[in-house]
Amino acid sequence: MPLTFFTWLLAFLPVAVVLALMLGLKWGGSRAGVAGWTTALLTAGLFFGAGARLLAYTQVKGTLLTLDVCYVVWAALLLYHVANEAGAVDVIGKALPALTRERAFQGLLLGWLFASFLQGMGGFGVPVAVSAPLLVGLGYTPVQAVIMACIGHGWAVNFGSMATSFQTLMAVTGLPAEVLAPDSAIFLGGACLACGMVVTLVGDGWKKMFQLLPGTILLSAVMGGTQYLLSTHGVYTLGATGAAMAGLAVAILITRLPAYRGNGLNGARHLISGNGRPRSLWVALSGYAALVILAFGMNLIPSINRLVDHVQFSLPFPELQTGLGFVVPAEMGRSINIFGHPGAILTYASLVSYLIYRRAGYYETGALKRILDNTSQGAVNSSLGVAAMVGMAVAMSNSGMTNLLAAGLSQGFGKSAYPAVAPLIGALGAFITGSNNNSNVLFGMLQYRTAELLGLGVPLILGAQTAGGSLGSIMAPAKVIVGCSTVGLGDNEGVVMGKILIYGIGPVLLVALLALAFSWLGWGA
Amino acid sequence: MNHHPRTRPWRARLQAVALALILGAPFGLYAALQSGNAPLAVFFFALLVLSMALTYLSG
Repeated sequence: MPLTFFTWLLAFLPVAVVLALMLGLKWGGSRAGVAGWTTALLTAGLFFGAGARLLAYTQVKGTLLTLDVCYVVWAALLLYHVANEAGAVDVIGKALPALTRERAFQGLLLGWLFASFLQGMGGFGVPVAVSAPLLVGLGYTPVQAVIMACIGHGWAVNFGSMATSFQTLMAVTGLPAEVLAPDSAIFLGGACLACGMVVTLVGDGWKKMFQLLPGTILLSAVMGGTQYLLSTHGVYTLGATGAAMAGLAVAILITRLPAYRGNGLNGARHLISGNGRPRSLWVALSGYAALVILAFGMNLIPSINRLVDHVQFSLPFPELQTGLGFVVPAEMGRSINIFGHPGAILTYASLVSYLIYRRAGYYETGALKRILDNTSQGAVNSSLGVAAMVGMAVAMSNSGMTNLLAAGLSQGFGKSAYPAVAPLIGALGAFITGSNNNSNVLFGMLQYRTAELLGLGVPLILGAQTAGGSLGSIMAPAKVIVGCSTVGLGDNEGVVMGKILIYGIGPVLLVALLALAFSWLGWGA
Repeated sequence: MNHHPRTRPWRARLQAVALALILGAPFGLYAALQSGNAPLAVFFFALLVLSMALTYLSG
């Protein structure tokens, strides 16, 4: 189909419908996804020459992608509820502030490091829901607490939750981690520093931000560097988790310095969890340690890796062609590694953690039922949204709509300006759809094609896309609403939203500047 | 953390049915397409559309 303003608008129509419904009419992701899915199939069939057979096959391809993503979503939620039901999350959150008497550093520990750690382990709004009430306990106002917790973990979304969003980017573009990880990790490493600075700025002002700057730079170098090393050496699923753990370890060392030293735990071996029962910090941490050991072991030990890689599920697809001549070559669909998938690793870790906590007597009657109920409640709704959005994105991609959108963007912005636009598109997608994951589904292929058409480095543009998505997702209304509900700010979501947008745009602009600079320097071109 | 504290039982059941259909129907569709069975393919595609309608209603 020739590129004209009208045809470009037609190709953009499904995305516009999702954006308008979510942003304008405040629809949820699953309902808006269905509307976008319907629009995409109708537009592809009526205007882009996609026949029934092509559209049917796109939905099967989409289901494979959906299963790949949802496997992690379900298992990550399971692990979180296994730990939360045992009181482990609560205990870790209470132990951290006791390490130092410097309040601004306590704010950094909870709002930046602990929130990022939670994003690595669970995600899906958990970092804000858990960290914000703890920050209020330190004396920050509820508005400050929600902003700090939201912005603090923005850099960790892409490689957090077992790198769900990053895996989605790999799935929709068909590019491996070795290609996509370096640029993504560099952009997010830069954003990590910006997020830490904003947390101190919001909580304790400019003066404290500059006072703590050396420590913030050191911690962001440790976390950004760890995330880069993990993600570029095959352990991208633990990129954010490993980085946050390394950051927490260095932060604990910093709290040994005289200026920061606190009362510690006063020799106490147990802390009181939210339900009033004593809990050992080490037992609380053991569940997460199990995940780290399992993930590193399965990824880095070749014999284990080969063993779990045996059972893969995928389907072959024939060549497809639209009535207008757009051809999708024959291909294998997304391959799902049943026993070695990040979702499988999370499931094993959940089982090990559950056994540890149960043996320690941390569960009350009916805990298993509550864990499974809470997991399924969270998983079903988000899975429906993912399925509809993925179905829409694959239909658009296979009918030539994404290609046309990319052609329009490449002509509209030009090669020199586009690198700065790429993270803004990623952030916009995440802000509106509420997730880095959905942003990558919607715009991953679009950015890929645009980069190819403009002759820009594909890893650079896709790294900017997912970094922008990571930082944009923390400003999404859905996350802010979760945070506000945990600190009694139910009626002031608009105020918090406005402030998060002001503070949150800084890290996104930093990524835009980095992308522009790298492009001008010829990085990956 | 309970993500959906106000999810009503009927809505949760509708969502569970929608999810089962949305993830299951495409595999029937694939088998029908591969075997060239057009009526069966139409049936499974209709199930997929039904699952989207249920998603919309329960969203």
